Amino acid sequence: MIFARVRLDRELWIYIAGAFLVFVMCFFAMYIKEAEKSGSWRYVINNQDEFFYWVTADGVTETPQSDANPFYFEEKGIQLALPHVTANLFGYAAKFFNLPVLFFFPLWHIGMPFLLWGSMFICFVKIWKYPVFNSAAAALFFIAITFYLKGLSPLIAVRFSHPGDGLWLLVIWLSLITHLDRCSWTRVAWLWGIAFAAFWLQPMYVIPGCLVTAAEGLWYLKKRDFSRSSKSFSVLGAVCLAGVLLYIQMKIFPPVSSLLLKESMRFDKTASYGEIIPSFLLYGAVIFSVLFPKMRNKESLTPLDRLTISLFTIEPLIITLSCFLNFAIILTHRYYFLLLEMACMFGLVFQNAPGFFQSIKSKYYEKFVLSLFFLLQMLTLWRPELTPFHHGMMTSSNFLGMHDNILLISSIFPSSLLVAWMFFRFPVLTSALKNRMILMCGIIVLTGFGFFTFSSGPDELSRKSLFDGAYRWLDRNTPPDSVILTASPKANGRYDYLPLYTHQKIYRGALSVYLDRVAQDYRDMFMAALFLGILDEITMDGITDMPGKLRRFRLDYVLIERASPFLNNIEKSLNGHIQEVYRENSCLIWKVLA
Amino acid sequence: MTQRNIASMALLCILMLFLYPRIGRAGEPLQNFPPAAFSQEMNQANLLDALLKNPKNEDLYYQVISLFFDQKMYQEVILVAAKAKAESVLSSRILMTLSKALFLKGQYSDCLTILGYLDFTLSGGA
Repeated sequence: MIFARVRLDRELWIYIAGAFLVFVMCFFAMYIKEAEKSGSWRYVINNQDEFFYWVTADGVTETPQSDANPFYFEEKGIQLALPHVTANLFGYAAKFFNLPVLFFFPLWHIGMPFLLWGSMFICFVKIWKYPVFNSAAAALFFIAITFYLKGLSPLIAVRFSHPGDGLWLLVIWLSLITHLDRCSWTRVAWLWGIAFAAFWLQPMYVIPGCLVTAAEGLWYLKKRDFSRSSKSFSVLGAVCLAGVLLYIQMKIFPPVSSLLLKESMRFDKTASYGEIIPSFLLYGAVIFSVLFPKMRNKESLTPLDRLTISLFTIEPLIITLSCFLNFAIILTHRYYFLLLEMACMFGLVFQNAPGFFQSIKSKYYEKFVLSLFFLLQMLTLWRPELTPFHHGMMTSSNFLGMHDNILLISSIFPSSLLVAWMFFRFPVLTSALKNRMILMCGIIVLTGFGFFTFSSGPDELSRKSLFDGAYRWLDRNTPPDSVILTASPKANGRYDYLPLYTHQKIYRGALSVYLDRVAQDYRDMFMAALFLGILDEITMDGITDMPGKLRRFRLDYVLIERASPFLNNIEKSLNGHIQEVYRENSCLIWKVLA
Repeated sequence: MTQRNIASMALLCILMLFLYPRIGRAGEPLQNFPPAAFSQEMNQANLLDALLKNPKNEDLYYQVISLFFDQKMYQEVILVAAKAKAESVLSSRILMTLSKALFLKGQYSDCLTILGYLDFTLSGGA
């Protein structure tokens, strides 16, 4: 139990059990169609990054552990300085129970969104003190809406392992830190643990946490409440401690690969100066919409107000820093924070809208304001580059394009105000929603539909399980760590399940972390020449003879579809250096003799 | 006070209206077609318009790809080829020529991408 003295009564347990069933249903809604496409439940991973992380988890089960590049024989045993902790934990669990890592696939895909929902639900009820039903519905709605937005947001509640592994912690962190008046030092100690864990799961998670924590500390310092201020700053201390430990680890274990860290710390500006002004202006708009009602009514800022202001600081801050430093990794991963920002935006609208509409006495002005919001919304929906949703809702045409959080949030802001106005002006709508069963069913359908329509786009044809029999044969009949070249350009190494279902390594993986880029170039050239049928005609790295080219990097077997249009080219290139060892209807395997 | 509220909100709306197109550029999806570099750097608006109006015209794709290729804009070559693949118009002959040309230019990773398209084309996506 995360919170000291938090008790869950029967009503909460009913909601929790119901949500669990919903996410079980969502799991089947998403993956039954993947299984149908591939022809097997063993081949249902539907996005490339997730595939990479599962292979990373599998690399942890090896001896020696290989989580830096689990694909290549030559880079076996190299670990990352800052590991993918969640993937590694799954790897350790698989090793401990002697199970394949994909055994945990359903556990993640049901458990992670359930945990995310649960953290929001419990925090909304116990910390934010919102009604139980509203909390359950809002938490589910926030998860559901991520599936309908442009950019990478549909990955939030789906992908293994980021960002789902840390978002639930962030929800608790931000909820507790904005309610320090109810936080004993025991709970603050929990916060230290959460901040420490968040850093190690992925340092990016601490960005919103630290911003909000620092802002809260300054807020209480301004109010001369030194007790709460010190509690806030102590949490920042936990983050610093985690950073120091990482630094020490890198000093003590220098051989571990710090490639990812070096890449992310490389100084090189990634954003343009032109993006700074819009981000600050929109941040100003957020501050205005938070502060204006408070100043007008001479009220103090609520925790939600403070959270919104400090959370939205991320956007202009990152864009500004990106103009001077290489923040590409953070800039392109801001979607990690979208769900939190979205929750704040909706919370703010429903907190302030009633007061705002009540203050409008003239119908004329009300119509004027509403017309403006309506016009804005029409503008965003009319122009494809501004609309926040996937085109046509059901399609995946724009899927995985990067999108600006500010753009997404501001483009659904007018709608949320219009909806708030409708509920304020037409009480009949509010009474219609009093039927909780209908409302909850609506949100559940929205969620299920989001999961069902999730698609990673154009790569689905490379997910067919053509090689299932070959994998089983390779696992049983070849020595561990043999290197297999999968000769399928259309798969292009993106969904090569070989490392997940065998103890073998692959010759070239498009998704592997390139520890040695020269070697990667050689592998790319080798594969391209092989498919073009010119491998025996060219000189590679000064090597002219075929056995030399085959021995440059370990290569033991070639796996190929029998219907491949490149079969003849490959056979011609490797003539005299291969021997067929396996054949079935869909594919065959050659042993490389070099 | 009410009128001031409304005036402020109106100002906010106008501000947002003004900002939307600018932020829209910043948040443009990476997979957009055609690539921005095409219209900005090559200034071949007529050819581009023709391509957009005739998305099934293989000759136009070939011309655009050749233009990009001549200027060593290989990422753009891949983007146009991907668009052509989506429209199912580029013949296997052109894809094979293109992959060989990329190989000769030392663009092995891009060559593999085009060979992937060729694989889809020749095997009917099966």
